[in-house]
Parts: sequence; structure tokens; C-alpha cells
Amino acid sequence: MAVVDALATVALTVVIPPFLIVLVTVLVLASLGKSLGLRQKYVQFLLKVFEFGRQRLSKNYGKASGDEQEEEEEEDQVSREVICRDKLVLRPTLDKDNNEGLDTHEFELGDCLDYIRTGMEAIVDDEVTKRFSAEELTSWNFLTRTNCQYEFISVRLTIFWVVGFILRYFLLLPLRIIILLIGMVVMVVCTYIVGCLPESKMKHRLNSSVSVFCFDFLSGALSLVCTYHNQENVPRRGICVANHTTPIDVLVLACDNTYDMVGQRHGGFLGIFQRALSRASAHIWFERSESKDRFAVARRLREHVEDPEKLPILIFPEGTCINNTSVMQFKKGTFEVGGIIYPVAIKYDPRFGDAFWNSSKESMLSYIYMMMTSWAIVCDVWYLPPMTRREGESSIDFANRVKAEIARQGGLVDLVWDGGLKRSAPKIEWKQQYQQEFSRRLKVQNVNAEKKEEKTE
Amino acid sequence: MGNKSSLMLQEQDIRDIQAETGFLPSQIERLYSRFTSLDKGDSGTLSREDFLRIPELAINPLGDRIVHAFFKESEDDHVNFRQFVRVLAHFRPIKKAQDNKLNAREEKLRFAFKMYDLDDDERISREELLAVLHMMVGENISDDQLNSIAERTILEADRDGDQMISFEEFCSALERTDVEQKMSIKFLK
Repeated sequence: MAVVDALATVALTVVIPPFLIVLVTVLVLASLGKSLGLRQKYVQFLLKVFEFGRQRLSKNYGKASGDEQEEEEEEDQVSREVICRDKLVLRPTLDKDNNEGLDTHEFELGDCLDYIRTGMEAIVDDEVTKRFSAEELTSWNFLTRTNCQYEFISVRLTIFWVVGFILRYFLLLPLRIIILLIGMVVMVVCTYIVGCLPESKMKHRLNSSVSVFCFDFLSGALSLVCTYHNQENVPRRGICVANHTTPIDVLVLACDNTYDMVGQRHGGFLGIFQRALSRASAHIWFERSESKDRFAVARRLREHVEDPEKLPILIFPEGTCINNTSVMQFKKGTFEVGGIIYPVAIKYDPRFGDAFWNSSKESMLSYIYMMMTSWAIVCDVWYLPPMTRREGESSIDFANRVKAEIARQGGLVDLVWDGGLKRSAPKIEWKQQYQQEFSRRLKVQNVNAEKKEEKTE
Repeated sequence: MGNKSSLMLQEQDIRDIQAETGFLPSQIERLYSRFTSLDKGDSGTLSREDFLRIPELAINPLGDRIVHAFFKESEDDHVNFRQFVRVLAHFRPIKKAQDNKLNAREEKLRFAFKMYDLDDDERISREELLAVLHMMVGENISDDQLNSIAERTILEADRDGDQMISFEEFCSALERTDVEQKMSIKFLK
């Protein structure tokens, strides 16, 4: 008993006070972290480290393959392209300008060669499949998960990696987990309190400040460093659309402004947030199966947008997470509702941690674990000027126009392909349109076989 | 998550493949990276589904024939990396300095010939030509018209009168076509 007593005393006097101090410091830092600029300094420091690593790597590569000095400089702009495609590339929508000047010709055996070549090119490198896996980096960022062929090139790099590993897993990870847990509790409690209030202007203001505070606090759990550009275009009402990479997009945008969200109802970890948020404000969560009934969702959207008291709605029209190198097809449903659209472009810096969530490969919790053991999440957010549908413009064309703007601002590739191809096969109509085009180019005899034989003789 | 390439590709393998196909080591490593990213089951081999998961290939009218070209050499309906690169090597551009048997004009022509030759009997019959035409045009042209196109094509190419196109006849029919350019992919260094 005496031993137990002694142990208990030791625990209470030695272990707990420092722990409490650390906890309080962490809480204070987490809520003020951004204003102290600690995260920014951390990110700048990391950039210097990465630069050092990159130079070392190219030096070592140069040594290994015996290249000359000039080639080392070329290595700096290592392109990840395997092939150069400048001819026929098959896409879901045929290029309309091919329709003019269609001169037909007799079929020749060589007509298939173009299709064979473009098929082989697609096997080597296509536009779509690489959008559903992590973006390839041009240089190593000291995370094993991106280590493709760097292995153990030099002792100094290995030491850096080991130090980084210890730092990330034994210092940052526990801190971040603590912040996350406290943040979740704070959010649930605060949104509950706000939800208990009656509808009033004060409730809205309280909801806004509570929401921004909670999300800001949670962003400490990921060391989120976000730069917001063009804040004069921040959405105050209407619909805000953005490209989708990860559920963290919501965190990124909600740290700066308050939105009502629209999305698939999730269970588990995300579900906790969804339910908590719903208590304080009118978010729209739906089931994918219910979303097939587009009218119901569209109706709720329209009601929300037309109410001037309500917050702007945040929607991700791609419908699924893409790996932040491209923007895929925007579903037209959002753009049929009407109202003002505020496009937002989000671009993550992949050097600090890959933010992309492949929901078919990773569960939410393992994704969060990966995020919390990365260096940081660094991103840029551009608020673009509002857009409305022009007279006579179809909702699909409007959606494509908005998509092009977002892609242009974020430096992303603008693709016609549907993000749903992550899980499902392409539509058969897309193959049929190429069959149609090929047929139109063929000069077909309209006479029957007998007459044709007369002609060839 | 998509970057675990090169760990299983040995130096010796790269040298062997370079000797056999003419690809540079950097190209071979990138092709291996592509191979592993297509290999969803992490089995070290590709199945037909792995290929047809590529949307651009799935909407290609000749997609199935192209995939089939990879599986000709394999016995168990799976393509390993060596076979994968060997087929791709046919599409390396022809450079006079690099003499390699896989990407010669004749090899490219043979690849195109095999697209038509469905039963691998070294001859393209009218039915085979019809089947490939059907893949190319879908439902947009009637069977009668397709028939007449197939017959005319065979008539023009057939020299020895057996109503079928042999490989030599195929090569002469494509004499004036720029096969080198049409059947070459610009692999970057």
C-alpha cells in the first residue's frame, strides 16, 4: 500500500503539473497560433529544409549517373510527363470544330492506325486515372510516403529524415491529437448552446463567431496555414462553389467565413461534425440515394438561396474528391438553381503533406492520421468575382464557364471528364460518338453489291 | 500513395529491358511507375480490367483489340512488366542510330496486322475485316454497306487470289502510309 501511495504521490506532484502546463500552453497557442505567426515561421523553416534536400539530391543523382554540370540544372525542372500527346486524344465530348469540312474517303486498312496509337498512348499516360492518386512531387519532402526512389542516398538526408520522423510522430502528433479532441468537444458544446437560442439576429451573429472560432481552433490540429486572396470577393449570400480535394476544404473555407453546407450525410467521425453544425444553423445534408431525386435537393437549395437572411451555401459541384491537379466536371444541378455564384479556387501545396482523400482507398480515420503526421497543410484560397448565368446560356455551359475560371486561377488542369469515373465505368455514349464520327468520314456506297462490281470491272 | 515505384525493379532487370527494347533507364522507371499505378490489386501483373479501367481506352472503338494485343503472349491472362514494356516498345519512334528489332517498320506493321487478324492465323479474312469495321462504326452503317466496303478492301489488297489478306499483302497495301509516324509515341526522356 505504501508503494502505491508513493507512486500516487509521485504521479500527482511530478507528472501532472507539467502536463497541465503543457496543456494550457498548447490551448493558448492553438487559439492564438495564427496571430503569433508561429505556423508561418514553421512553414518558412520547412521550405528552407526542403530546398537543402533538393539540392543534395540533385547533386547525388549527378554523381551517381555521372552526368555533367548542365544536366544537373535540367534536373531542377524534372517533368513528370512520360509522353508528349499532340494528336487525337479521346474525350467525352467531341471537339465541335471537327464537324466542318468533313471530307469523306474510301476506307483503307490504315484508317485504324490513329485509334491504335491513341489507345496505346492512353495506356502509357491518360488524363483521368492519375487524378485519383496523390500528386507526384518533383523533389523529396522527407516523408516516406512520397519516397519513390530516393532511399538512402546520403547520410545527411537520412539524419534529416530521422529527425523529421521523431518530430512529427512524437511531438506534433500527440499535440495535434489533443487539440483535435478538445476542439471537437468545444465545437459540440458551443453549437449546442447556440442551437438552444431562439431564432434571432443575435443567434446568427453568435453562430458566425462560434463557427469561425471552432474551425480556427481545429485548424491547429493540422497546422493549417492558409493564405486568402482577394478578400473583397468573400461570399455573403448566394452559392459558393469550390474545387474539392478533401473534407479539409470545409475547414479551410470556414476559418475565414461562415457558410451553410450541402453534402452527403456521413456517419462516424464526420457525422459528429455534421450533426453538431446542424444544431446551430440550417445546413443541408442528404443521402446519395435521395440525391437522385434532384428536385428535392434543388428545391431546398432554391429556398435557401432566396432567403436573404440565410448564410451563403457552400457546394462542391465535382461531387467527389480529386487530387488537386485538375478540376473535373461540375454537376449542373447547382447551376440550375439560379442566384449569384461565388467561385473559389483552393490549391494545396503538396510539399508539406498530401491533402487528397481517396475515399475508396482510405478510411476517414486513417486519412486524419496521415494528415496529422504530415508537416503541415499549406494552401492558397482565391475568392473570385461573382458570376451569374447569362441570357440563353445553358446550365452546363455556365458550369463549364465557372469551372474554367477556377481552373485558371488555381493553376489546375480543366478537364471535361466526370469525377465519378473514380468508381464507375465511362458511359457507352462516349464510345458511340467516336464510332459516329468515323462513320461520317467514310465514303459509303449507297448502291447495292451488284452495281458496285460492275464499277470496279 | 501512388509513388511506391522502382523498389521492386532491379538494376539487372532495367539493363535487360533496355537491351531488349531500347528504352532508356529513366523511361523504364517511369513506365514501371505507370504499371504499378494501373495494378490496383498490387499483384505485380495487369488483368484486362486493369487496362479497361482507363476511361480513354474504354471509349476507344478498338479498345478491346488493343488490350488483347498485350495478352497474346501471356498464358494465364495476366501481363507482367516485361511483357508490358515489350508491347509498348513497338511504338518507340524509329531512329536511324538505334537499331532495335522491336520498333522497326515491319514490327509496327505486324502489330497493326494483328489488330485485324482476330484468330491469329496470319490471314485477314472478310469476316475478320467486317468484325473490325463493325467495332469502328458501331450501328451507324448498315451491314450491307459494311460488307461491300470489306469486299472492296480485300479485292484491292489481295494478290494471290485467296480472298484473304496475308501479311505481305497488308504491307504493300500500307506502302504509301506513314506507318512510322502514325504508330509511334513520343516518349520523353
